[in-house]
Amino acid sequence: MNRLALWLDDRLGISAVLEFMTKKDVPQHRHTIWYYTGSSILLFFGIQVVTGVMLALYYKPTLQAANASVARIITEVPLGWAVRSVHSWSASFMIAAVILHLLGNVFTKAYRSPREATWMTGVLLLAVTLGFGFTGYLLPWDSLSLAATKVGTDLPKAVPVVGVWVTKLLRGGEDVTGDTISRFFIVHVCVLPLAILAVLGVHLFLIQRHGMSLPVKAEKQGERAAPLPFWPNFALREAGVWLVLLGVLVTVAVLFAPGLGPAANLMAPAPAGIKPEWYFLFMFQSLKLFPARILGASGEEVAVLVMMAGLLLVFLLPVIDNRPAERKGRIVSWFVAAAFAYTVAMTVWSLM
Amino acid sequence: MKLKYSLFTRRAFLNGLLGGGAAALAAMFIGPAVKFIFPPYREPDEVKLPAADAASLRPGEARSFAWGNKPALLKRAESGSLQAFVTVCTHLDCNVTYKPELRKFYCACHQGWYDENGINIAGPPPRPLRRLGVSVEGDVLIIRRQA
Amino acid sequence: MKAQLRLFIASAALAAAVLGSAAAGTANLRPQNVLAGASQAAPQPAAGGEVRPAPLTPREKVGLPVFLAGLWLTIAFLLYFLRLRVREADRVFRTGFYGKPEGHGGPPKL
Repeated sequence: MNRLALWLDDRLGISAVLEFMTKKDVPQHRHTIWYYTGSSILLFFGIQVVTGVMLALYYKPTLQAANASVARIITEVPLGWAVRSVHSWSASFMIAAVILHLLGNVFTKAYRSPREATWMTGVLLLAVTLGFGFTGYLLPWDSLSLAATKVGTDLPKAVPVVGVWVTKLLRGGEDVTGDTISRFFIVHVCVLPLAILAVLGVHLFLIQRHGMSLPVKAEKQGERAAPLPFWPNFALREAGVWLVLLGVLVTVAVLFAPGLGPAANLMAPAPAGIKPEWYFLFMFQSLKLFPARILGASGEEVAVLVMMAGLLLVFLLPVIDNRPAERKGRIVSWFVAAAFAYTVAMTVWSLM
Repeated sequence: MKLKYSLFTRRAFLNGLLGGGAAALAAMFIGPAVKFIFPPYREPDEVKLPAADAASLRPGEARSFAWGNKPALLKRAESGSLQAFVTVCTHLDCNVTYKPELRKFYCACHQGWYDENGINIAGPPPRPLRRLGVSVEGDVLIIRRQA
Repeated sequence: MKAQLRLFIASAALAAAVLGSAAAGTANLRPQNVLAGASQAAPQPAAGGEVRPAPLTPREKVGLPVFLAGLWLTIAFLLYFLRLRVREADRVFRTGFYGKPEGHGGPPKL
């Protein structure tokens, strides 16, 4: 075994990576627990890839067969219902982990210099992850999927000039059709995975380059406790966290497996009580609040532009909050907290 | 018999337990995953056809039907009895055709030939065509798997 | 080294055997109807009906909690030994074996 390791190391230089891992350390302070969120996302993403490939062995991305193939998976294929359930739940867990990761970094101001690029690649990763959720949701092709996709691909129309083209690009035409399924499928299984790997590579490289950030207070106080080496101390702890998360995911997935609605009918009216996935609910509810017309533009158009502006602000947060330790930083924190409270409130409201 | 020296260190023992536990966890997931990836496929136990299908067959004539996912052929032999074959070549699984004028089965992939009873007579096929049992019950023709 | 390998295999086999019973319980966590060939009894989603994941057979009904119990037992088992390893790693770190714990001066230097 050792000889094999030496052979590989001579040719690949793996020992440099291992040496780096032993030298890398993780600061210890009140907020160290947030450091676990990043690797949790990686765990859930890995699970998504594995279960996704397994599902793709039987899924058929065509108008006629999409819904039927999913029905076959959950009724005929051995343990297909379990694999599909894990995939569905892990998607939600992954997005929840992404949100926690974002919150942790926002409130510890991990985005301040020199980590602005890390933050920006992180926001790109957030967008890609939501893209995964959106494209994946169409694939079972039941009436909920169809309605959600129709609405979701209609929103870009609000963007001036290019909006209509974006909608046509997403749908493969003016309307949602079988072509939309094909597009969303290849985006979900090929385009977005490539994108996430590329952006994640940059994100991880930047993290290793800059080291783990310290919350502002901890930096001021100097180190109370010595930082832990990443390997083996922190890595072993992460392994434990992964085990528990895996257990929770599988338990929930096996006990609460989702069903499948009847195949979407392109001509039928939208079913009553449709809702998007939970991570889009706040947008769903906010859209309802906007009046039909504002200053000559339609309510939806203004709402979409507001949302896009919001995303841009999130992306540029490190640039906006360039004095995080001072009063400006505290004001930004309050705004972020307010925005988060708004998001939660909208989500809860939409469920009532 | 008490050993003078331990066979392995405490550390090695614990490492073994940890590795074994990890292997067990992996096995708990790999097992079901393998079942998922290799789903069980059972051929049908029997296929029912309307007896009229056979009634119209004269000696030497044949009619194809589906045996699960495989093509099959119902044929009236020269002697008048009914035969059923799975028309999949025993060489490399190509679908075989029946040529009534020659009273032979022909596989186009590698020019394999079977005679009217499905025995391999020329070309690469190593075994005769698979036979299925035929019986008539009332107005239903039952094709069964043969032992 | 050889003894260590033998011990590893033995404990893996033992653990697998213990969980084999759990696996046996879950062995038929598949619906009654088998694929394709058997065209009968595939619960087709009737137009307007919702398809639920295949109902569990009595064997599966027993197998499911057995699987979950086995899963959590294995996780607890692993967590216990992981904890030992973590405590050991922390102890070793405090002795300074991994090198002086640096103040947080930025990226690690290779």
